[in-house]
Amino acid sequence: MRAGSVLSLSFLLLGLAVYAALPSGGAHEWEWRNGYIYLMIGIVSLLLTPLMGLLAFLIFSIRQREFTMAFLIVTLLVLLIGGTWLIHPGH
Amino acid sequence: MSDPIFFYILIGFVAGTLGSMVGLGGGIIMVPALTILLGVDIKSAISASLISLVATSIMSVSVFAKKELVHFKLGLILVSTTIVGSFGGSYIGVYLDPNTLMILFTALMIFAAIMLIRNLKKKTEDGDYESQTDVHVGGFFGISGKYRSEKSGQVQGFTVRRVPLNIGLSTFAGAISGMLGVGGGIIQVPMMHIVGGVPIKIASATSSFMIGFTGFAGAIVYFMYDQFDVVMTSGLIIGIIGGSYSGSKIAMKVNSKFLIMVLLVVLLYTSFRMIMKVCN
Repeated sequence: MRAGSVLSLSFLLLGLAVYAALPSGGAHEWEWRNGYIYLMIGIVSLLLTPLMGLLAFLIFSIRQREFTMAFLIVTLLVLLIGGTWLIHPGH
Repeated sequence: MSDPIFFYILIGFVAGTLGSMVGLGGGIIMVPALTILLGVDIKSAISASLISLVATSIMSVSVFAKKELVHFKLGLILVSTTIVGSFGGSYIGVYLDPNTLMILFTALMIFAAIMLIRNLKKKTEDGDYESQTDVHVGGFFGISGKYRSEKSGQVQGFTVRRVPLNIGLSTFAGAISGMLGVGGGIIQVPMMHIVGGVPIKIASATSSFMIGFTGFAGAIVYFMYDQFDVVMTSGLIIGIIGGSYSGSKIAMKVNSKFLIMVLLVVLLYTSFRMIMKVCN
């Protein structure tokens, strides 16, 4: 969780710095676009961090033989992934 | 540079500071601030608020989990229905007219103001808010837990009451969160505390674990339906994280009654401005 949040925040700060410091267009267009990509990576990794945390928690629960917890985590994962799939505009 | 990045960070910071100081979360301040002050579309403001919920959840859960304040079993049971509500609420939010969303948000702000007045009265009457929530007996699902009282230092047990009702209300809370981009502080915590009899600190920590997934479910819908501004969201996340951190530090030094009064004025004034915006 901590690694995920640090990674996300680093990308967000880097992206915002690039985006704020460089003007769009001209010689800096490529770097400016990179700033936008950093921001997207930051946001996507931020959104994925709770899922990664949940997976780590699942492994921990199975190792501790806490099968009720493992079942609840799997249910939540299925709901999150299934819900995303169901609500997708292309579905 | 066409985007006012500095203002996004500033709004996130102020919302995070004020929100964490009174325990309401940043969304209730951030969304109206963005729509009224910067003229941002309310749907983009809501999606940014939902993503920042994920960020604040990650930050706070790591702290609360260390202190063993998060009740993971209860959180996992409740969040399973909360995210269903959040998916549904945000899906409705995507298709709702912005003015309708503004009216709903104003209603929520008035509700938050009432909750704050209630808390203010309770704190004045009872002195110690924590000491009321010690042990509860019963429970359909048999969910129980322990927590250490800060004042006495003793470990006390509790059993969660009316779990099925809590599950039902969680779906509703998730729908409100997904539709309006607000966290658990305003709905989930009072619900767990009043209906479930969960000690306020456990409820607050468990809610911060839950809002990460609620925010994820809501944000992903707005993200897929293109109601999303990358630069604004990033600025707000940075601001709100800094604000939440500073807010938790300042809260210990400032009179909580004064804080609540300030926020009450802010909420009521913002409600008035939102209504005016809808009418114009």
